[in-house]
Amino acid sequence: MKRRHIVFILLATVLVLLNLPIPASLGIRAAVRDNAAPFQTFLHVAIRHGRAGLNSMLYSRRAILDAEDLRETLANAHFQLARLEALEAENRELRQWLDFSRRQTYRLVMCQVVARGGMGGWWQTVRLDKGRDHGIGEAMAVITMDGLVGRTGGGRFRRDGPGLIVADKTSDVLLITDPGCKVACEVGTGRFFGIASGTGSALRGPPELDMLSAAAPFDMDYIPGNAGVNAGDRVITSGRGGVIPPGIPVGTVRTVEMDASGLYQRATVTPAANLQRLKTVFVVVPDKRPGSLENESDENSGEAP
Amino acid sequence: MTWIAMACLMFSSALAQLLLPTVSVLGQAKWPFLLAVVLYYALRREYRVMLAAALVAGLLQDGLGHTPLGFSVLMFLAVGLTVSGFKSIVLTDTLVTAVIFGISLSFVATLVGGWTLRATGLAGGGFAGLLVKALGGAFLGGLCVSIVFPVADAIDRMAGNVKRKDDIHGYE
Repeated sequence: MKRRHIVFILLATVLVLLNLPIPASLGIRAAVRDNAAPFQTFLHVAIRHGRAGLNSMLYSRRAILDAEDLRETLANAHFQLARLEALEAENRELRQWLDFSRRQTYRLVMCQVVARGGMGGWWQTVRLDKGRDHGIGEAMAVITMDGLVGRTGGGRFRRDGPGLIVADKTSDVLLITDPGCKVACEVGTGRFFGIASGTGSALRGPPELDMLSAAAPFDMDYIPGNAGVNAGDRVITSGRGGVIPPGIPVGTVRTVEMDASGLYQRATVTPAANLQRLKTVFVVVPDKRPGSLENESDENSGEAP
Repeated sequence: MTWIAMACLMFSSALAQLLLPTVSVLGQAKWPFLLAVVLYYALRREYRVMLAAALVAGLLQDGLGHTPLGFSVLMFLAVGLTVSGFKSIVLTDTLVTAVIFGISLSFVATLVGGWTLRATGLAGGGFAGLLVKALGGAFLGGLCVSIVFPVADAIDRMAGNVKRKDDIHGYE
């Protein structure tokens, strides 16, 4: 076969690949990732064990295991506390709207971060070592003990920005520092609404060994012009976007200024979670197990809250 | 044995590119190991092997990454065909040639790739950030080529895919 023919066939293959329907394209990519996942996890586990081996020379192994257990417990407690705070405030409003909405319960799935930035580093993403097999789905919130990290890909965000996939054994997460990640938030004691969106990675700043880059503070737009928002105010998720549960800490306001249009205020927000040292994260999965609070509330739906 | 050696080299390069962290001062450019592998097959091996390498590397990069399927295949084919065009007028056996190609093609590939992603609305950011990333990619491209070429050469010799020039001329 002549060279020209081979090149022609390859170019035709490229055209077919570029024009594949989204489900077929996602299927191929998910298959590549799932097949690569064991090797990827092996390398990640090897690195982690190497680090743990080094640590065990300094500390006892028992202490490391205990610390991992405690971290998970603490994360659960932090998450529940944040949600309870939000629910307490929300409860006053809900008293007026009996049975207006059902209360959703969540469980946390602990995952290890096995890769960052994909293959090209064009987007602020991380890859987790768990996927659909572990109950993780598309468009779910991802948090650490300190606060919100981002959301899993796919779902209604499938056509936005990067091709993020939740495969059987791995899942991609879009970090809140990515310009494509937008989160509905509340700020200040008056619970003023706004939209937080990432600004990418900072070229300057203290690098960490894991990420070797500093996460840039992100912007919070569309805060009402007359809202009393000050530096140091806490920013939490509002839950109004329908993807991320309310009450999760997002960050702290650094500066506030009026937008050039004069219609709304814009704040720069320092992320609550340490995005430079992401090792263990938790995916917030809606709890649909039998006996969960959601089911109980279904049974008691006729009662007053 | 060529295909087995290529598969091992491709897969380990893809995992290295995926797992190695980026550096902020280099614009978060990834280590272009797969590009270095395609460059190796384009400079040192036959035409059809280069085409196969470009196809496999592109599929791996798109499959493991976030770019649309086929995007990187096209980019690696362009890289391979460009290098093949220069093959007859450059010294293909020296590492210096490979490093020069690695730096220049990595710079161009990052710039063109970034511009395409921005033009299609898949990625955001300004031109300054893209330029920093392209310069970072060029630097890492030179480093990756310096790592991949000796390793790939050693693997090909061990597998018997290529022979040392000394062996050919009987000077061993």
